[in-house]
Formats: sequence, structure tokens, C-alpha cells
Amino acid sequence: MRRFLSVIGAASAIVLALVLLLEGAFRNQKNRIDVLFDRIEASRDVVDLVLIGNSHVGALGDLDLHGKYKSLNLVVGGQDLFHAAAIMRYVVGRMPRLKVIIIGVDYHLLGYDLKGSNQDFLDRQYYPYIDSLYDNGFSNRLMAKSRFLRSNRDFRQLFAPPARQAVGEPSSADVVPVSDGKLTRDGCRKRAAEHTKIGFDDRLMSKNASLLREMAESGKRARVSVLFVTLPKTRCYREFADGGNIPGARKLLYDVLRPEEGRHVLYLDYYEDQRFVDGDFKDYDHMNEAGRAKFQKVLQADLERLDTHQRPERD
Amino acid sequence: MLFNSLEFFLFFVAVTGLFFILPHRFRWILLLSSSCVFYLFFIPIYIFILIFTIVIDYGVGLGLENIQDKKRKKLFLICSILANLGVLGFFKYYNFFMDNLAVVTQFLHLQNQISHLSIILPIGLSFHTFQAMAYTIEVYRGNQKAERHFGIYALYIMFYPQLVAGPIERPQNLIHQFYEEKTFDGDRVLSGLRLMLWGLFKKLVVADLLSIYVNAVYNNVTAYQGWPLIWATVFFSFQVYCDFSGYSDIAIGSARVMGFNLMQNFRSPYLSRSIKEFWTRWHISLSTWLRDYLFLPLAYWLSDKMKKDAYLGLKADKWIYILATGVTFLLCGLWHGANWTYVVWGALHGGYLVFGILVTGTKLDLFKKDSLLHGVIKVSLTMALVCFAWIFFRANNLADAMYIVKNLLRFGYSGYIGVPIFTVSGFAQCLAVLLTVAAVEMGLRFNPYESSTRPASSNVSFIVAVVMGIYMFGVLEKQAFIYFQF
Repeated sequence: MRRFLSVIGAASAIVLALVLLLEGAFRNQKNRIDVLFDRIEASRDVVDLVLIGNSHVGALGDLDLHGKYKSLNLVVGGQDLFHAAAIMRYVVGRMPRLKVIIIGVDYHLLGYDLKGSNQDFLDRQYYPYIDSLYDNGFSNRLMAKSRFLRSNRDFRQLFAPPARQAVGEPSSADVVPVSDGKLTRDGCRKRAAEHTKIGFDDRLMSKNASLLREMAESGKRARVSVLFVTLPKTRCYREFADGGNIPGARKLLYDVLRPEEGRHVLYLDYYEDQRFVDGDFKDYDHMNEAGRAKFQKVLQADLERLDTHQRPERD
Repeated sequence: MLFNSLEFFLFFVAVTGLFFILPHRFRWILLLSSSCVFYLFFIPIYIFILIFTIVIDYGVGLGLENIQDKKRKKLFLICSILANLGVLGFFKYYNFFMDNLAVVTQFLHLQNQISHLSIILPIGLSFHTFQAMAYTIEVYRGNQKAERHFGIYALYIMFYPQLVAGPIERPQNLIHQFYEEKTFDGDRVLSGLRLMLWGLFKKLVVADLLSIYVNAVYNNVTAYQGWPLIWATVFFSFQVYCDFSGYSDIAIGSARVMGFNLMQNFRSPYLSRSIKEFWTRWHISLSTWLRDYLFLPLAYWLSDKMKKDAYLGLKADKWIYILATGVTFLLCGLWHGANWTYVVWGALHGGYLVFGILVTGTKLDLFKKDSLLHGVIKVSLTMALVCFAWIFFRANNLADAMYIVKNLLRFGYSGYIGVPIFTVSGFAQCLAVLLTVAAVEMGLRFNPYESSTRPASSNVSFIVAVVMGIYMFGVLEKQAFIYFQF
């Protein structure tokens, strides 16, 4: 018994020391979600428009809407609606000047979450700010409080210098493979399949629809205009998008958001907007500079329309 | 309750602590009640299925011992087997059978009024059914006395370390251990803990990491060709090994902590030099079960029926081997799951074995020599054949499996996969953990399977290395074990 206790005691002490060492080493390590929330805090008193969504919205950068709004782009590559809703809750509570929230809602997001793309660790990265997890079980909450376990712990993350991590590394969802630097139909087919078929789980649709409703309702309650936007995609992407999942997701999106439209909620669908051509994209689904400039003009006009009829009352 | 959960850790600590505190005469009650609690964490209502088979087989066991008439004994045994297989058949194969019946009736243009049942397979059903059958067969054969203590018999079926995914124990090995008084032996407890930790490492650091890659590819096979399919298949072969042997290690280790010896289930199967050898190293508790209760009885029965020395130019003993192997492996495939993919997987292994016996001693037997080079070639070839069969085991359906087979060697654009592991570092991590497992299991420096005493420093370094490995590189999202579905 004595020998047993000495082995267990020594092993426990060493493990505890190593865990504390790792926690200490990662204490000041900022992951990209920390950086995101730092940005929110740094500009909370000046921002009146935020963009929330995944890398597709990220391609828009900080919108310059004729200087009318001071905007902040809060997108995270590969983000799902669960965390978009969490960020929205956070900014509504923390930004007193906030007037407009633009939320990117690709059709495929109705059947998507971070688990599906094996990025569950991102869920833990959000936890200190949103106090909620997919799985709110004790062990998961415990892990979410660990600085070390909030990183994704792959080799790159573990051995990357802190400065590199501080600006956040792109997730796989940000990286679009282009064979030989060119867009190919095969690449487009696979990109479309990755979003609309591989990463699409129709069991998530009702949960995600509820999140959209919740976002619309919380905008109304806070008297912040919420603009849901489905961004345009290239012709081949649309051609190869899953013929079953995407129409189903679009129908659900319309069923959920159209009834919510009114004074503070608007849904704009640019998915098949003919004003956007393939030359407006840097790859199969992300807009380039020209596309971004064009989108800003289009959005400006639509926001004017929104302002004319649906001016927020918050300020 | 999954082995890879905090709930199980707390459960294990509490049960083990109580086990050593309680006097021996109360321990079976503790183990039986904790096994019930363990099972109730899954689908509670299904415990009645367990109780049903336990009551039947307990009664049959007593009956078999008291009856002298051979015919009546056989009848009792058949009743028991039918009851066990009936439950297994209903829960596991009803919908599969109905699906296939629907295809046949459609083909014959018959009226089709076939309905599905929305039933979930009781966890570990195939395992405890086989364990129960082993008991009645052994009592029938006279190798095991009927157990008179109902609680002990129930514990034999329900002993929580091996309740849901084996090892499939034999009554001769396990029942008597419940009567033996176990004392706290620090070295034995440490060796059990070492094994549990190693199993957990294999599950969390290797199997669950590889599953990210494997699932991404196998759940959408048509998006890929060439290398992604090859790597996914190779990775699956290690995933399934680390997942299942990891479970077995935790089961054997947790039983060992309390002083119970469960049978070894794996012995470095991927180092086998032939498919025949592979089946002496892979899922040993199932392969020996099939050998003792299916293959050998079938072979003896066939040898009784086949009177001639040769049929169609082939010796009768080879025919017996071919037929018995074929039936055994088809059923082995079907045991794993109600899907034709498993049947094909079983058929492939049966086919490999039959081919092996047919070419042995002929000119086609290319690797008779026993040099190191021949050894490496044999191991590689065996591994390739096993991997090829895993395609059918893992594929979601036969169409997917056939797609993979056709596109395995078509190297072109590999496509987008969209999971973090597909980065160079993610891929390197997969290879690194595989090498770690191989080094530990082959190098034997820290052999987790040995139960002998070792220096305290060795124990401490092993425990620290494995725990920190899990903490730093483990996938901690509580993924279920693959063999739970069987």
C-alpha cells in the first residue's frame, strides 16, 4: 500500500506541476477568439455597426458605408450560428452606440455547427465570454476554463510563437485550396460539396432555425436593426451545391426570417444576384476587392432603404 | 457511461474503493449493483433484456446439470440458444431482414407490406449474448458446473468492465474468480491502472484523432480519390485497433485493479505474418469463441457426413476446412453488424484463409522461407489484405465501398477536406501518435501489458507520460467506442 501510494502521489504531483506549468505558459496566450473579444472591448464605445459571420462575411472587411457608420468586422472563419448568436448577445449588451448588426447567413449554415467540422475546441475558446457551450456538462466546462485546453493543441498551435497566435491563425475554413493557383471546376465542385453536402447535417436545421429567430427577436428587443444577409456565390459553386440540402435550407431560412421582417429586421438574399459575376470572387465563394466594392454599393442602397422605412430608435 | 468520461472515472474510483473496504461476502452485491448502474447509464429499459436472458440461461444451466437424458439436455440447450439468438436476431437483424425481404418481394413483384421497427440496438448485446451462450454450452458439455448462486451468475453476464464490448469471457475463467477473496495488492493495482491509462491513450490520442480524418473521407467518399482514400483506410485500420484494443485494455485493467483476470483480446495483430495468424491476435475472445462453438463443431459434423476421401479432386479435409471457414467468417461478419458491408468483410477474411490453405505447399506459396526480408514482406502483405477488408467494414454501404475500391489507385486532384487535421501539422500529428503507439507496443520498454512488479520510477514515468500525452494531445470530446454499436 505504501509503495502504491508513493507512486500515485509522485505521479499526481508531477502531473499537477506540469499542468500548472502549461497553464502558466499559456496564461497570456491569446487565441483568435480572445483577440476578437479584445477588439469588441477596445471599440465598444465608438462602433455602431458590426458584421458577424464566417469567412464569407470576413471578405467584406470593415464596411465603409459613406462614413455613415463606424463598423467593426467580427467574423470568424468557419463560424456557426450558435456562436454568431452568442456574439450578437454579447455586443448588444456591451456596445451602447450599436445601431445595426449585419449577420451573414449562408444557406449551408442551417445544417452546420463546429462539431461537424471537427472544430469543437473553438466552442471552448468562446466560453469565458459567452458562458455557454454546446455541452454544458461539468467536464466540458472544466476544460473550457483551462487556458491550455482552449487551444486546439495541434503541433502548430503548441509550438507556434505567442505573437503568431496573438493575431489568430486562419482555420481550415479560411483556406481555400486552388490547384496550381487556378480555379477549376473540380475544385469548385469539391468546395461546394464540402459546404453543402459533407459539412451539412440536416438534424441541426431546427436548432439553427431557432437561433435565427432568437437573433431576430433579440434585435427587436434591443431596438437594434438586424440585417441578415446571404452573400453571393460563384456560378459554379451554385451549380454544384447540393440539390437537396440547399433548397431545403433556403426554404427554412425564408420561412423563419420573412415573418420576422419589419421595423428592425430585414433579410437580403444575394445568393443568385445577377449583379455579381465570377470576376467578383477571389475563389469559389469569397469575394475579392472588386466584389467587395460592388457589394458595398449594393448594400449601401439597401441600407438606405432600410433607414428610410425602418430607422432604429435606439439612440 | 463511456470509459472515456469523467463520470466513469468517478464511478470507477468509488466502486473500487468500496470493493476493498467491504467484506468479501458483500462484494458480489456491490459489483452487481454497480454493473446495473453502469448499464442504466445507456438505455435503462434495456436492462430487462439482460434480466430476461440471465433468468433463462440460469434456469437452463441448472436444468442441464440435473437432466441425464441426452435428448432432453440437447433440447434444453437449443431452447437457451434460441432464446439468446432470438433476442439478438430481433433487436439487431429484424430491420435488416425486412429490408432484404422487401428487395426480394419487389424483385418477384409480390405484394409488399413490410414494416420497420424503430428500435435502437441494446448496447453490447452481441457480446453478452455470446458470453451467455458460452455458459450454457460449457455446462452442456460438462466443462463447467451450473452456477447455483443467481447473483454470481448475473454478475458473470453483467460484470461492468466487460459488459458492453468484451472481452467475451468463458465461465471457466471468470465465475470462480467471484468466489475468491481479493486483497489489495499495490503492484497489481498499479499494473491495472497502467493498462487502463494506456487504453485511454490509444482511444483519446490515437483513435479519436484518426477518426477525424477517417470520418471526413468515409462519410463523403465520392468527393475523394487516390491518396485521401488510401490514407483514410490505413488510418482506419489503426483507429479501429486503437479504439477496440483501447477499450479492452481499460476493461482488463479495471478488472485487474480489483484482482480479476480477464482474457487478453489483442496481441499486436498488425505484426501477423498471415491472415491465419492475424485471427489468433485480433479480437481473440471472439475468434476463440467462434472456433470453439462454431468452427470446430461444424468441422466435426462435416467430417461425419463426408465419407469419401476426396471431392472434385480436393481432399475431404480441405473441403471441411473451406466450408467451416466460409460459414464461420460469414457469420463473424454478420455478428459485427446488420449490413452487407460486414458480411463482405467476413467473406473476404474467409476467402483469404481458404486461399491460404489451398496454396500452402504448392508453387503459389511464394513465401516459404523465414528470413527477415520474407518476414517483412509477409507482414506487409497481410497488413495490405487486412486494410483492404477494412474498406468494407468502415464504408457506410456497399456502393461507397465499391467506389473506394475503384478509386483507390486513381491519383489526381485530391479535393478539399476542410478539417484541421488535413494540415501538414495535423497529418504529422497523426503519424507521430501512430509511431508512439507502435514504439510502446513493439519496443516493450514500457510494456503496459505485463503485470509484473517494476521499479517505482518506471511506474511514475509511465503514468506521467501517458496522462500528459492525453492532456496535451487527446481528443477530449467523449466519442463513443466503435465496438459499442455491435
